[in-house]
Amino acid sequence: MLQLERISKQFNGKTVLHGIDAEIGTGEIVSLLGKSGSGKTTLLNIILGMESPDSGRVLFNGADMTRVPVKDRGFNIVFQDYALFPHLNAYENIIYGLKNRKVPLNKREIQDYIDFLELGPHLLKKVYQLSGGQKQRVALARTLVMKPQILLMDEPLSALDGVIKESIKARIRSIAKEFNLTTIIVTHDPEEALTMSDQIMIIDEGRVVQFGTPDNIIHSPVCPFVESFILRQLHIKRENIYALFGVAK
Amino acid sequence: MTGERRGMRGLYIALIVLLAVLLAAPLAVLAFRSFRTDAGTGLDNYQSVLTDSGLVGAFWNSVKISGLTAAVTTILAFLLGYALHCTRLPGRFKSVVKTGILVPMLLPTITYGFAIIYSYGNQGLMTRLFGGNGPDIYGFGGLLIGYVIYTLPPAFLLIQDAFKYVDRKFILVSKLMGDSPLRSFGNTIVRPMAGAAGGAFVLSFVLSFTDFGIPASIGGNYEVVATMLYQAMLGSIPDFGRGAVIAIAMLLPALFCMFLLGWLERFNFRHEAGSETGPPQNRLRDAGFGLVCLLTLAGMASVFAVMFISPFMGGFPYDLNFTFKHVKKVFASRDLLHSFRNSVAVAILTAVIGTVIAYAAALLSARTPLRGRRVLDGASMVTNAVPGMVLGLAYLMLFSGSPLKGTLIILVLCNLAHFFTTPYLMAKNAFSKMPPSYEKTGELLGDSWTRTVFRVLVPNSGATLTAMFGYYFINSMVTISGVIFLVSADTSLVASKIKELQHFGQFNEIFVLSLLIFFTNLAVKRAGDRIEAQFLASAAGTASGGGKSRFRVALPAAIAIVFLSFAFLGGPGNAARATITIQTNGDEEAVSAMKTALDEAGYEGRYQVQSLGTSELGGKLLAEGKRIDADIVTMSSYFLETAQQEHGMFAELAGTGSPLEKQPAYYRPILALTGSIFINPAVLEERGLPVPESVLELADPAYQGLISIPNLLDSSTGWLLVQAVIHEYGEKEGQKMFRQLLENAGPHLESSGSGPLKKVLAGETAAGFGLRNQAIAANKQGMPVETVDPAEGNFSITEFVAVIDREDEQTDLAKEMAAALIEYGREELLRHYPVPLYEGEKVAPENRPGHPKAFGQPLTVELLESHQQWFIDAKDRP
Repeated sequence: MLQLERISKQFNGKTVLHGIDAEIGTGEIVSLLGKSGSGKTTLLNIILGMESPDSGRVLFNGADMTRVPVKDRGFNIVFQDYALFPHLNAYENIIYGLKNRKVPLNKREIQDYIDFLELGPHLLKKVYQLSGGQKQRVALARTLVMKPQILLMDEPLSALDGVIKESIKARIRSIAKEFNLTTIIVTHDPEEALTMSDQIMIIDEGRVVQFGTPDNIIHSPVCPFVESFILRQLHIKRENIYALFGVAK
Repeated sequence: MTGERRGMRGLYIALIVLLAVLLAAPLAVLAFRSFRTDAGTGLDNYQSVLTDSGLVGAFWNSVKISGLTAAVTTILAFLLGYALHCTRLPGRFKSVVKTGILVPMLLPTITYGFAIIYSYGNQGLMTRLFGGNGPDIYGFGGLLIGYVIYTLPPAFLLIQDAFKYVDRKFILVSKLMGDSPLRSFGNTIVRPMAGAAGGAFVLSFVLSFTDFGIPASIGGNYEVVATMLYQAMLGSIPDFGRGAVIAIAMLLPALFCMFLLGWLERFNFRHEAGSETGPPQNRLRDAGFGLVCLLTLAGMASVFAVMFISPFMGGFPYDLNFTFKHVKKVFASRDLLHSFRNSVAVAILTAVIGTVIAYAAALLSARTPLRGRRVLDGASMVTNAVPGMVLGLAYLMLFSGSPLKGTLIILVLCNLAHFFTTPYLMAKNAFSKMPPSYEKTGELLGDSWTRTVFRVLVPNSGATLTAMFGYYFINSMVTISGVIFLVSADTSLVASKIKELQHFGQFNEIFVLSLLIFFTNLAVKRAGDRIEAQFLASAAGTASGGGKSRFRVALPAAIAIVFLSFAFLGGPGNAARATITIQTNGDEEAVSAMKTALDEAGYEGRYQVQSLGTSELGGKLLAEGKRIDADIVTMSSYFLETAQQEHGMFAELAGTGSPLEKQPAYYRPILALTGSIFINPAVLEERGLPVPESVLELADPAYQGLISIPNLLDSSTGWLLVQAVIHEYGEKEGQKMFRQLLENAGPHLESSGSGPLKKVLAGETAAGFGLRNQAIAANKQGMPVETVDPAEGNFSITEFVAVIDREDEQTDLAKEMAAALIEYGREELLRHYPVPLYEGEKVAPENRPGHPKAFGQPLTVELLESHQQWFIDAKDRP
């Protein structure tokens, strides 16, 4: 279980996070949803350990992680641009982090991840030869083989085309289930957040305005922001799609 | 996180210390020296420089010629850039133009001047092809041609880069909106290119303003700042204070220009990206710009063609038979090969170390949050602005007492700083294009920062590292301005060797060495370009199938390696290193006779000979005393005497032979020089001039531009002429006549005693004054020259050998060699310089000068200085 206690952060005198409190259960998929500049990425960095909060604590399974360096925290992230190293092929990228460990590579375990992510045919390809979805899966594999305690993902779908998006969503859900892995996703797209998460944390101007299940958010928006920013978008989309299929509202 | 920070901090501190030593400290010492005088600290140096009309004149000359160069270069670069980007000329043609314009970058600038002289001089290749007497290339005209060739490549690169960002769609849009052609050109080309054009102007201005190689080779008597600085430091008597002030006078405009360049960048206005839209069809435009391209390339080719032709001919322009003798001579010369080896060693060391330093600096600046990283940007701006000569002088001042003086290391250090900017910016640019998440990812996957650097950043920088290496290498190979003050007898580089060879007018050797540099650079460049292309292709995924492309890299790489290894393994230079350094003001014949004598006496491979001008060597003796980097010197007596009085620096020599005249024990005569007039009968006839019988006749205005004489400020041969004039006509009358003589000589006032003969042999002038024996020898070889003993008399100067007394084994060996020089060398020396100096020596009657005379007053440094003042007055005061 990951607990955030009154996390606050300022940059150049401007407060970006105002005492964030939250609890995230093991194996849950949680989306941090907000507009750009809302503070969601800063919160992600604080959880990951790339930034330290000005005040407040990050607790993992009861242990205080606030001052633990990134490397020892055991969390990991898949970046929006994947950050695959172009001079290495897919397989070399996947085992990049394992090479830093003193223990010999466990070939079978690696193979399991590769099979699970269906990367078998692409292992010897250079990064530029991979499609967007394949890159995403290589980046996931590279992170998963490190056996992170928490998987963070920064805008995981933003660089992908429509159809791939849906299959990656399903993939992320199945990973969380398969490995019982706590997964935290940063996104600005309400549709993405609501369709793949167990819980959604809506952040606006450095404050959590609502934290709940998709059902909870759709049916009981707590404030005008949630209604105008989130629900209106979804309503317009729904109407457009209904209109396309000729279904009367 | 703290461990990572420690790594970055450590690297940062190391770099800052390095920059402080390589950049800040030398410049600080330079600034300090400019205020220091014998009397203490003050503005005296500035005052004396600012009131020196010659220097102020040279400064304005530099401004004028650089301004004109910049204008010509910018217009030409713009036309060429336009031709490449806004016409439909065939792609293949464009790529030939693009490559062709950059070719001069592979050569030292000092070569340009000699190429121009041998192409467009009176007897140059092109002058002979097209007939006529050729344009006046000594001075302004030659400088302009040289500077334009030198500055066109960088200006063109700058403009061409800016053109890439001009979106040609806007040309179409402008047309569709109904603009007139003029307005359309103004809005779509001129406006977006204004910043770059301004930049090109400033850049070529500052490059011309600070270059040394071109004025050194073709400046004639058109004085510029660079030549003044050189004279202040390596002329008769080095004046550090004066040199420092001139350096500052060169530095300030350069700093201002670089500041201006940064400011102009704000006018750079960039369309999002150059578009795929081609330029509209227009045959006339294409033909016009095609012609501009062709003429530019043809112009460059016409200058450099001679470099590829003349070294393979018996004696251009008279003996046009094909021969390898000049090439063989270079390869048989330990001295010349040694300088090539030095050049290559310096270039490789600079390239390797420089690439590492610039890469590390860019890494800290572009990819870490260190607070002080702006300092690195600042340093890169300063290195960009400081002219090579200024940096070299600053190094000379800072390191003169240190063991680094006279080593290859100091040359490498100077180059590291001098060429830092471009590789640094290359690396920064490459880093800025790498995703910023690399380091975070590496860290999350368990890397330390250093490990990520080596596992990810370096492997993804292959193309950039190659380009950085190539840049450092090629620039180190061609630079002269940065190293001219720092080379010593043992560490001379090809570019500085060329300066030395110029002294003897050995153009073919100069061209052979230039070709060596050229082909080495070409091979390195080709290999580098191909390796770079491979890296880029493999990163972008456009790799064209294996075998062929690998071959395309392998071939030039192999050639480059052959050239480089050849520098180290080839030729006779592989023998043991020289142990005794001989510095001499002697001419080619004297040097060759001394080498023969020493080899015969069994010292082969244990010495090296460095040739310097009389006043250059004299200045060194007086300024450096025992610290001079020579063990033996051969020199005129008056300099040796003064140096002995001031420094007590010479060892007593054991008796060898019996000199005819009694002399002090610390020097022995080795040869005597006799002056005379000589003529090129063919040129005299061509011009309808009579054969001159006296120096007086040469002062006749009919000889305007047709005589060549040695400069008394640089050459002892010049004194033979001045003695003759003063002895015959007295100081006052003589000076009047000498003024006319100098006027007639114009740009053909030579710093080397053998310079006038070369000019006469090359047909550049009809008559000259110099060493009698050289003219006779040339005549015997069938060259177009005849000797005329002047009515004023043949005066002589005796040269002596002396040994620097360091009271060690080295000194003993040097003494033995000095004795051997006389014992084994006199016979050949007497043949070349037929004046008996030892008892029992005889000279054939035809070698005896017609009117031998002596000045009648002892020849001392004071007398020389008073004659030099007389000479300056004749030259500069109307």
